[in-house]
Amino acid sequence: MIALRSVHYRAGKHFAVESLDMTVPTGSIYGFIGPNGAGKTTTMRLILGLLAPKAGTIEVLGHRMPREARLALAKVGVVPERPHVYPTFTVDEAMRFHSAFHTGWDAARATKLRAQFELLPHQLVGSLSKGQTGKLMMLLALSQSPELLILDEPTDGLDPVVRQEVLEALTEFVATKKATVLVSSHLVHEQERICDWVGVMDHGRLIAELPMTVFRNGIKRLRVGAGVSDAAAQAAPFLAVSRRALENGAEEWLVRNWEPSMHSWFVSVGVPLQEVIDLDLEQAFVSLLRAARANSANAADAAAKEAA
Amino acid sequence: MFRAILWSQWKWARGFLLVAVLIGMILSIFVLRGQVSFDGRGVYSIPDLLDRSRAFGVFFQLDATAVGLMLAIAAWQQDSRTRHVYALLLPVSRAWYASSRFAAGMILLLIPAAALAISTAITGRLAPLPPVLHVYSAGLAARWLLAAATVYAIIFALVSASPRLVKRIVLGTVAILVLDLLYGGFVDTAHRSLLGALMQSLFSRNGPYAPFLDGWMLIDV
Repeated sequence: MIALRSVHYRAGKHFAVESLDMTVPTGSIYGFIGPNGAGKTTTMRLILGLLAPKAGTIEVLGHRMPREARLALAKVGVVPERPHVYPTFTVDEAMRFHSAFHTGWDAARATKLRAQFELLPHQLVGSLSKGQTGKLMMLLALSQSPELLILDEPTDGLDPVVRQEVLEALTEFVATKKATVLVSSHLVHEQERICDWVGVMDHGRLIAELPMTVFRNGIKRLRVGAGVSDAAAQAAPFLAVSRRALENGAEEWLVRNWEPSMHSWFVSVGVPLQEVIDLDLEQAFVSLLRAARANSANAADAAAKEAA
Repeated sequence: MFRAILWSQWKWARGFLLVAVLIGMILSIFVLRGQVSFDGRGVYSIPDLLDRSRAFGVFFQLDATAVGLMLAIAAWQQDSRTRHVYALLLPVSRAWYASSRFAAGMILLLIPAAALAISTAITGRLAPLPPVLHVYSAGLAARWLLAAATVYAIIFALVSASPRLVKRIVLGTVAILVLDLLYGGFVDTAHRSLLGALMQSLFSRNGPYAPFLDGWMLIDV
């Protein structure tokens, strides 16, 4: 559905997307999370063909981007980060203009959504509130009956009521049309409710990409006794993302792909597993970010020492 | 799809297109104002009327320039305001989109040109001119359309290009002209100025900017 392979892109001196591999499976609702400035919007622009990568390949619905953007965009509904509809159009004019370019335009759905979102047909787009603009962009994206929806922070800055309405319209559409969705947000709890896949991005790198169930249940913080070598930890059936020594001589591990049966591995290496701490999605997200940042800092230190 | 593009440009440009139509009508009346009598006594002074017709040619030129300029700006203004994101997300090629916007503007230019042709023709028909004078309403309207289209095409190209490209073009042109002037002034005084040659080729009788020069007379012998 969407596949990025070894994508490189540089924006200015300080930001780059490097060796980005990402796969959004067909039929999934893929939550794209990361802190502000992580590169989510840049990645979405690359996917939409608005930017051209320096290296690597991007495929959207079987079309190479940005070369075949015209073919792909005919099947993609987009809600960009900033309002993009002409502000001098009225709501009805915006709908009419948009429908002229999309052969799959569902007029009945558009009318229904306009009523549901309480948008006045003759109101100017430029005079709409932030919430109403968000609703209009979602209306346009959903009414073109897309196979793929790309939504960049679609609920950012919206009040809870409007956010709920927008998300309900989205989930109803996905349920009936079986569309694939790529949705970015830094509202982790919102992603947890609607997504079945999750990708975590930081500093232009994808640091995790896994099913939501694995993300939700498989990321744990473990308190274990000291004494496990790095080599032994690498052979564990789970992925040890980071290790930190505690004051009492024990260690705290952040692990991925954890399952309850993996207790036995600690027994086999002769180290006591003292506690398994459940993390909610936001805690897991923050822990993953911290671990990734610490690991890259350590790697940079090691490289600097080696060079010296 | 082209209809949607044409309609959007009509929506954005219709205000000043209406003003352009009115200005064309007013100008055609003003050429004759105070110069002819509609009570049957005829033209007061043929030389005065010809002078006035010649003098008003400038206003027709300015009108054509303003309409071409405004129409080109209107074609891209809304896309610029939205950083071209909406246009780039439409399932059409960039070339198709740009050429459709250009063609839509060209079609809209026909409205004030036609209005000018009609209003000048009506005014000329109503004015009791002596047989030696003629009203060139179609010729003036064609000249107006050509001039407006030329301005529209140039400004459209500049507005649709990226600011970086426009900056490069302008700076490059200025650099070439300055070097040319310095060469002509200090190295080879017999050197024929590039700027002079350029202006001559552009504004000569057969040049692309000839419509802007003399001959914009609604009434002539």
